[in-house]
Amino acid sequence: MQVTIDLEVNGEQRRCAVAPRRRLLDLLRDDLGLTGTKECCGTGDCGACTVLLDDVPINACVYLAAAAHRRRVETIEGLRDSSQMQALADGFAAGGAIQCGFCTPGILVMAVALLRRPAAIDGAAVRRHLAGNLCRCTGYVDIIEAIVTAGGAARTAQGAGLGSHA
Amino acid sequence: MAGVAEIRLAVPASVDEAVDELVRHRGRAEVVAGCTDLTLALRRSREWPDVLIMVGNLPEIRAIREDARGVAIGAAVTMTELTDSAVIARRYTALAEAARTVGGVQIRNAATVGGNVCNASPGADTPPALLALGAMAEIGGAGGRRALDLATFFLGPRRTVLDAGELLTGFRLPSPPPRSGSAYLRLTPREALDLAIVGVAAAVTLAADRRTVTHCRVALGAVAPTPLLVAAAGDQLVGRVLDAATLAEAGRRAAEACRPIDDVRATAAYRRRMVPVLVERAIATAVSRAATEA
Repeated sequence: MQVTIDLEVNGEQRRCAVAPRRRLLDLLRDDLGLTGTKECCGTGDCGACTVLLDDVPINACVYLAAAAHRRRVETIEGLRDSSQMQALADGFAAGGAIQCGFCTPGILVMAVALLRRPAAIDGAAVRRHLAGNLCRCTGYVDIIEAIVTAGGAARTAQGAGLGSHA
Repeated sequence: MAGVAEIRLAVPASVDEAVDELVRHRGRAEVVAGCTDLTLALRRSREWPDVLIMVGNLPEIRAIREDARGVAIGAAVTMTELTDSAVIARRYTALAEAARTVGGVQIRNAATVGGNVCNASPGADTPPALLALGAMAEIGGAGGRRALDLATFFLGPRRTVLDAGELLTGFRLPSPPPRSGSAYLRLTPREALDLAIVGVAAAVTLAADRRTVTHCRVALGAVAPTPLLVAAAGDQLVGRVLDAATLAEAGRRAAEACRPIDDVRATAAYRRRMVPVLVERAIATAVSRAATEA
């Protein structure tokens, strides 16, 4: 038997039939084809599967699809056109903050959540925020600098009235 | 073994409805809130429950409410909500510190305090803080509601006094008297995403002279089959002024009370050596907070 759940995914209302033990990660990747969300550790330790649930980041690999019933999910695909993501893409490209890229979607979702907050960010804040994201290539420094740079750029753009892609 | 195909989802609108489901499916139901422990447990398990009861979004158990008697914390309050709460940070500091040590941001956004307690891991972070702060567990069942001293809640690893037809709905923490302070300290190799080698919570109240201890409770995590309230460690400080000798005595009594094991994270001997170190630091931190509290 499957259960029917209603949820919003990237702005669209979806009705999905899921096995009650199915993970949110499997629903997104296998049923909805949103493969930007990655599975790496599968145990909630690495953050590659990070998505936003009602605006806050969670690990989709340790969240049941059924628990997302009547809730709002945003994946890396849904965040692509946000002003924060544009600043982050520029920052990551300019700073060489991507190597193999497998951890990147999860880190970008975390970074969007951080940049959406009103508080100014610095390297220490980014480090604390990314404590649950593992990268085995970059050594983190370029990633952290790219996010700090993007945070400054996003704020400058908003201050200049250019942050219209909410 | 029940097949996956037989599982049903229940989305109760109230605690009473959730309890009805638990009673109807006695022993064959799983309560679901933040999912962080349960998802992994379900995937490892060869047995499946008949019904998943979703309580993570139940408004009745989602709030932190302060009143004259203290604070009521719903079981489905998340770790992030605990760390972000001004009243928890100010008056129940050990609990805010314990919640902040759990997982990383993503885990803290999902994991609930009720789940952390019901999972009954010996090394869980919030139980020592709740024990030191004098928490009562609030429980709903077929016969109505009951409240229970959290110190009697844990029976062993993954085992609690909760009956199969009962739901933990939240906690009640008494209002700390003036000149109170608390702290939670945890020993881990990594700051984030790690599990405690030793966890220690202390809650202290001082007399008007801001030196004499009038109340002290110490609780330990990860050094016994259950989170452990060590009354003997705190009681001997009452009526005394904190000094090297009284602190050392508290640490000695805590080390005597603990029953650690060897595991992948540390040896029992190392844990027993570290207990007094953390107990002394936790009490000293709690006392300095109490001394400066308005």
